[in-house]
Amino acid sequence: MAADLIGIAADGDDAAFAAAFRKALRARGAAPVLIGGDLSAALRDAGSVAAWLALVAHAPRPVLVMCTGPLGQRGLALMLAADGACLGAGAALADGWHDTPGLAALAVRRGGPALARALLSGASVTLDDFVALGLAGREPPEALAQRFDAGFGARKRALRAALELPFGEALAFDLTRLAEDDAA
Amino acid sequence: MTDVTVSRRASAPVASAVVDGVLTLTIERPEARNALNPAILSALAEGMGAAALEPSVRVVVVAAGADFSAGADIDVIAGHNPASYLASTTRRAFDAIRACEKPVIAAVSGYCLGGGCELALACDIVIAADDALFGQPEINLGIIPGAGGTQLWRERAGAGLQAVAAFEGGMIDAFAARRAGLVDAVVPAEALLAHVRRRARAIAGKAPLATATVKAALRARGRMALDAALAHEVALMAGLLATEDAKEGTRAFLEKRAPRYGGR
Repeated sequence: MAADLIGIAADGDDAAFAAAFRKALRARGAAPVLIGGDLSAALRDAGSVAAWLALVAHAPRPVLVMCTGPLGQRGLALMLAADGACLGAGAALADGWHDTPGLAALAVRRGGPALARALLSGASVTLDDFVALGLAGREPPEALAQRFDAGFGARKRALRAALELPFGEALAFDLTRLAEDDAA
Repeated sequence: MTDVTVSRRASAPVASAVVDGVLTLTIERPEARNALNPAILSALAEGMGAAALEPSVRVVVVAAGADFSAGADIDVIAGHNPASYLASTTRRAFDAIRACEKPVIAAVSGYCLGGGCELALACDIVIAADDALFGQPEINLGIIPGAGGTQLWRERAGAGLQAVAAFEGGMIDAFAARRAGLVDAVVPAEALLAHVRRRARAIAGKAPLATATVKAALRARGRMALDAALAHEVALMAGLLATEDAKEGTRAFLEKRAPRYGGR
């Protein structure tokens, strides 16, 4: 995949960010969305937070996060909901990150109960741990974007089905295209 | 089976085609997210009625484009008064759709809201694309769902979700709808129509009299108490045992071959 990235800044309140992200998803093609800006904000507006978290988690294209400066609740939530994160200069965990609303659900979704327990224990976790856990890397976003090919969006939808449906139905979901190809 | 065209009105934004015993009624009003207007509802009702009269039609599919239907036209609703609504095309059309004697499958993608959701839930089987969103937002307009939206969720998803949908007017996505039992399967959006048609063809290939009898038995449940519906089912089954199709089905099973049903 070309390293074209659709950049948006996570500045502004939760409603503004949800709107900006929704607009980015409407761009043609399958280029990844790169979210940067101020990731230190606390999560305040439950409705808007739920909206942008669902958009990020279910986006039919790769979503990457560029982490620079302090990582607060918004940064943590984004890192867990997105497909990849880059740690830039000055990236550091802000106080209170482990009290991020939704942290347990996001962590379980991303890496299962073991990851959730590791993050919820909080105090001793560092950004190096995030790298070791596969949640973030120190490569530039263009390099990270190269990991996602054009078919990632479709596979991500199958991943969602696997997370949200019982095994047999998730399998049927992913096999549907095959079955319909056979029938055609 | 031969292709047959059952009905097509140039002025109505509903395409109609029969292939392999499956009548597909496709709502085609994408400029309004397939919002339901009297012309669409009348065309759907006429299509269902025509299907009932056409023996070659075994199954009906209700489909649309990117959005199943975002609901009823707001200006049509706003133009009604109490007397006109009771006698409206909308009311008669939904009654006709629910009364269809053939199995009906809804192929739902995108927005499936308000009257669109009521239309989908009036069908026997609901297959959702992974981008489908369901809801009854009428409460947000100061009205209520008026074509089944306070009743039809309950049968599939229980009283709780029915109340949440009608009181809160929010939306649920396809996966949540599946977990709640509101829909019967979730498939990738791009495979929705092919998947639904394949399932419809499979039903159309089964014994015609038995399929029609299943539909009659299913419809009885909503109109009879359970004891009466169960007794009705026994009577329907007894009647089927005298048919050639029933004999052919059991004979084919014992002879380890595919049955050849004649609808007799």
